[in-house]
Amino acid sequence: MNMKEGNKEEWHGEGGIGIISSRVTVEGPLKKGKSSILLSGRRTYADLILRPVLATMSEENTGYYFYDFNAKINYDFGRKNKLYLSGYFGKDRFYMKYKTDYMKENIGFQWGNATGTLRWNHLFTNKVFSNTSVIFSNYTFGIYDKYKVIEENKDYYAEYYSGIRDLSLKYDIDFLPNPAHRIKVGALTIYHRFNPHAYVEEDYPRDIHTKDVRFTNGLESGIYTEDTWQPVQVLKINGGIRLSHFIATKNQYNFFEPRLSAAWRLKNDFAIKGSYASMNQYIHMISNTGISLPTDLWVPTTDRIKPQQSKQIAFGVVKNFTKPNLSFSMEGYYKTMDHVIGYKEGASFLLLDEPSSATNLNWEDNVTAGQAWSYGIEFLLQKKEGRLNGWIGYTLSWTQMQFDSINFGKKYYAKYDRRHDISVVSTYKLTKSIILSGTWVYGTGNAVTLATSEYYPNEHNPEGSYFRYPGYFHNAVNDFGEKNSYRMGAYHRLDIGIQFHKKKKWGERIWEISIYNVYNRKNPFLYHTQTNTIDNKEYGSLVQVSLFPIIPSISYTFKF
Amino acid sequence: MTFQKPGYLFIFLLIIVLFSCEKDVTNIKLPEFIQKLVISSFISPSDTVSYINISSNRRIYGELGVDEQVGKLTAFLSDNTREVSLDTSKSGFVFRPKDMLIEEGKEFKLRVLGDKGFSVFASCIIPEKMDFFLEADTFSIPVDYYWSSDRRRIDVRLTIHDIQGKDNYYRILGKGVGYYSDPYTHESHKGDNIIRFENEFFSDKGVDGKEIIQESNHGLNYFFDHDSAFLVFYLYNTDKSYYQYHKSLNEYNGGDNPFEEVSPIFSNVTGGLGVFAAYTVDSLVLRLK
Repeated sequence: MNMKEGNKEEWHGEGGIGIISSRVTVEGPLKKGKSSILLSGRRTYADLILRPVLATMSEENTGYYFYDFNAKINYDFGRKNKLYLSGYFGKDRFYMKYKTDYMKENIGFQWGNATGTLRWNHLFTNKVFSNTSVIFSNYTFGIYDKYKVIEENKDYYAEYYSGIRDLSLKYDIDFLPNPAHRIKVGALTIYHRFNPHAYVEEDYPRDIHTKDVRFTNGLESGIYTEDTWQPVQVLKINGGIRLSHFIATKNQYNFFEPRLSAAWRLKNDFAIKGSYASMNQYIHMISNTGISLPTDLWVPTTDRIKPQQSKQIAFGVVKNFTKPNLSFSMEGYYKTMDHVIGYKEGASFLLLDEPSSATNLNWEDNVTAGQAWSYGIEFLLQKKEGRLNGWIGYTLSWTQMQFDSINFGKKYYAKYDRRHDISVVSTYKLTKSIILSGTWVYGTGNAVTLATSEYYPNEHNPEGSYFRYPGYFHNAVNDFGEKNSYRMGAYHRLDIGIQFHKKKKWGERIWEISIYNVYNRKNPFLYHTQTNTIDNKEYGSLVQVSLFPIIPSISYTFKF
Repeated sequence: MTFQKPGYLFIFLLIIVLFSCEKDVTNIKLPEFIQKLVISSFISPSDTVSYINISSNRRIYGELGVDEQVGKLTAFLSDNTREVSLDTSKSGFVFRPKDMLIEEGKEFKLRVLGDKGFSVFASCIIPEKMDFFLEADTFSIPVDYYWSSDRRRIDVRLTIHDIQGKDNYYRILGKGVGYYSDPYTHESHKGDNIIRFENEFFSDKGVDGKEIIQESNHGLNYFFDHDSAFLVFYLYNTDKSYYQYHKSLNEYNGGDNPFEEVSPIFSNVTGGLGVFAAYTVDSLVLRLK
C-alpha cells in the first residue's frame, strides 16, 4: 500500500469538521518541482462530547475513539533517483467505566500502530529500476482494568499488553526485458522484536507490584524471483519462487514457497483464472473463544512454536457485460493450514502460569498447535462507471480447526468462521453537485463457546471429607456443549450519506450529512450472563453489549 | 432540518447512545435446555462397596431453581460376560463384590435408563495393579511459625518408578497420623493432617519408565510432640478418564474470567455428563516415631 504523494507545484489543503470527527490534509512543495510534503490527521471525539452528560445519567459509560496521523516527504533528485520518507501513527481505544457509591471501575482495551518508511527509487535504465526501503513498525495491543473501592480505599490496577516491533530492509528490482515479460527479483530481511505479553499489576492494600515484561526476537529473511509472462495477448502467467528463512533463538526454519497463477481471456468479455500458492507465516494470531472480551493477540514463531504453513488453490471466472456496464467475477478457494495455534483449554493469556502447575511457564506452554481448513466461494458484481456505481459482494465460506488437545481432539468451527458475508456499496450522482451514497454489510456471527446449563460435579474423594481443602470443593460448573458451537448474532448495518458539492473562488466546499447504522442495529460485541430477581424468582439471561448505535453526523469539508 | 440548533441533535444522540449499550439477547436463539444425567463413579478392586452417584444438570437461562426431577432410574453394570441390575442408594446406585467383582484389566460398562427417556452409557477398564516401588524421603526443616511448638516442619519427596511401555496416570495423596495422651486426663487422642503435593494428578507422558519425583513442601508441623506418628501415602494408578476428569476440574474456567479461555469439564458419559472411571491403589506407610 502506497501513500499519496504531496503536490510539488503548489499548496493544497482539505479539511472536514464534523460532530463526531474531524480531519485535515495539507500538501505542498518544499522545493518547487523537486520536493513535497503531505500531512494529514483524523480524530473521532463523540465520546468526549457525550461523556459529561452520560456521567450524570448512567452508572455505565461506554466509549470509543480513534485518531491517526500521516506524513510523507518526497524528494526528486532527477529522473533516476527519488527519495520518499513517510510515517503513520494511529490508535483505537475502547473503554467501559462503571461507577457506584461503593466502587468505580475503568476497563478497556486499545491498539495502535506506528510506522516509518524510507524508500529510494532508482532507475538504472528505462527497463530496470529498483526500490530500496527501510521500514520500521510498532504494533501494540493492551487491556487494562483499574478498580477502586471508595470507602475502603482499595486501589487495584492491572494492565496486559503485547506487541510487535519490526525493522525491515527491503530491496526490489523490476526488469522489463521485452513487452512479454516483467521480471521481479528481491530480498527482504525483518528483525522482529515480539512482546508476546507484558503484565503489570498494582494492588496497594495487598502490596502487590508486578511488572512482568518478556521479549522474543526473530530474524526473518526472504529472497524471491517472479516473472509475469504474457506469451499471447489473451494469456497472462505469473510464476515465482521464494526462499523463506527464519531464525528463532536456536532453531532455524527454511522453506521454498512456489506460486503460480494464470489468467486466460477466452472471449473479449470472459476470462478464467487460477492460482496456487504455498506460504509460511512466522507470526501467529491467537484468539480467545469465549463470549466475553474479544481478544486477538499476535505471537511469534519460536524454537517450540513452528511457523504456520499454508497451501491455497483458487479458481475463478470473470465476465463483463456492456448493457448495463457490469463486471461479474466468481472465485472459489481451498486452503489448508498447518501449525496454527490456539489457547489450551483453561489457559490464561493474562496470568500465564498453568493452573495445575507450580512451575514457571511462559506463554508457549499455554498454546497448542493444530490444523485448519478454509474454503469458500466469492461473488462480486461491480459497476465502475455511470451515475450509479458500486458493487455487491458475497462470500460463502467455512473455516474449521482441529487440535489434539482442544475439544477432545474433535474438529470445530473457528471463531471467525463466517458462513455468509455480504457487502453492498453504492454511490449515485443525483445532480452535478449532489451525491448519494449507501453501504450495507452483513456477516454471520462469530462462533463462540457458550454455557448451555450447569451442574455440580463430584470428584473422587477416597478418604472422605478428610482430603478436601478450601478451593477444592467445586461449585456448579457449566456444560458448554461442543466448542464454538454457538453463534453470536449476525453483524449487519446500513450507512447512508448525502454530499452537497459547491465550487468556491478558493476551491470547493462539501456539506455531508450521513447516518451510521441507520436502523440502529445492536450488533453484538460481547455477551455476559446475568441473573435477575423478579417477584422472588430468579431468572438467568444472556446480555449483549453493543458498541455503536445509530449515529447521525454532519460535516463540512473544504478543499483548496 | 436545520443545524443551527445543534443541541437537539446532541440530545437525540445522547438518547440513542444510552439505550444502545446493553440489552438482553433476543435476536438469537438461546441454547435449548436439555436435561442430562450427571454420573460420577470411581470403581476399584480394593473397594468393598462402590457407588454410582447420579444427579442432573439445571437451566441457567429463563426461570431458575425450577426443580428438574429425573424420574425413576434403573442402572445396569456389565463385565462383558454378564449384566447385573444395581440397587438404588440415597444418591444413585450401589453395588458390592458379591453383585459384580471388580477385577484388574477388565472392562466394565454402565447403562442408566430412565422413565423420562434418559439413556446414558459409559465404560472403563480397571488398571492393572502394579508395584511402583514407592519411596519416600522426609526432610525436617527449621521454621519460625509461631504456632509450631517444635519450630520444625516435615517436607516429603515421593519417588515413583514408572512402568515402561504403558501410559500411566497417577494421583497421589498423603496424610500424617499421630497419637498422644492428654497429660491431664491421660486420655488417648488421634490427630491427623493432610499432605498436599505440588502435582496431585499427573501422567508419565515424557517420563515413561523413569523415576517420577513429586514433592510436598507445604510442611507438616503437627506431630513432633505426639507419642507416635505415621505418614501414609496413597498412589492411585488411574485410567485416563479419571485423570482427564480431575485435571479438567482443577483447570476449570466457566467463562467468568474474561482473560481466561473457557475450559470444559471432561466427560466419558455418552448421552450425559460426568465420569465413570477406575483406579487401583498402592500405598506406603512410614513411621515417624
